[in-house]
Amino acid sequence: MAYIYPAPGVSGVQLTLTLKVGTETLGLSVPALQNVTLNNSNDVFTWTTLDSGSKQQVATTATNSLDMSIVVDQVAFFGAASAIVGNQAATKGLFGLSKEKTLVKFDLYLGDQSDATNGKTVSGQGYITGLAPTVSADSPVWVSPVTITVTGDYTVA
Amino acid sequence: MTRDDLVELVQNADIGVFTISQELPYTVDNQPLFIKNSKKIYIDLPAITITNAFPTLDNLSVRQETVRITLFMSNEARVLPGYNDVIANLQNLKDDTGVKQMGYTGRNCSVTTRYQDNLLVTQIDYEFSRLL
Repeated sequence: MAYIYPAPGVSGVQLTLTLKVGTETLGLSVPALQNVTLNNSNDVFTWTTLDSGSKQQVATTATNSLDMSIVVDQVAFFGAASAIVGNQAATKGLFGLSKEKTLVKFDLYLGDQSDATNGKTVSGQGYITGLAPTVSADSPVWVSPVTITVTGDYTVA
Repeated sequence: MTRDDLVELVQNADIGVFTISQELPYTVDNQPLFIKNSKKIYIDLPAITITNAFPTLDNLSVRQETVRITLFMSNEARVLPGYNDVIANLQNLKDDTGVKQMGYTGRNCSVTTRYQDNLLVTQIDYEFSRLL
């Protein structure tokens, strides 16, 4: 068995999340992720029949989303005016992508496997939502939850 | 925060009849110096802990430094010349402007006392923390 082991801080091995707008190739690599949750929640249609003591159920369509928390990096969050022309994701940053309700494509690399072979990349498209940057005296660094509300299906490669 | 920083703060504080020693509170003839020399303040070396305050899945490192420094002093328990004022002044050092300017947002201090023979031994534990 080889489990997925995204060694934090090890380049090429660690988990990465890249956001792109349209057909751009570079995109925004989201830094300082604290945790990531990949959601694929199927709705269920339920019915009963007179000849069964149990309900019948079938999975229907899924609600997909990516939930994560980040330590807020100013450039990644608010965008970089000096980003490469045509790189909308990096120019707008997470806040701009959310504010402007921009459809983004995402590639989530889960990290290498424990046997050092490459892991899987989950891709899809959706909208940045759920930003809620927060800071406190006890935790004096801005952190924020981020949700990518996925429209359509995931692809796994 | 270094030991020298705290020594300097104590030197500049109103410590009444007490004086500050530059020596560490080591033991001579099975007695700590602060017992042998009452009314002298001794400051130990700091214990420094650095932890990762915000673990992330990449290589971002927001580290928290915590510095603990202990101060010792003793005086005759029978008479306490301005003792309360001295302790209050030493406690207030944790919020000194210089300490704040070093970026220490966590500034705590606790005072404990015990008796040894005819001496009242006072120990003040300072704890300072900041993000690096």
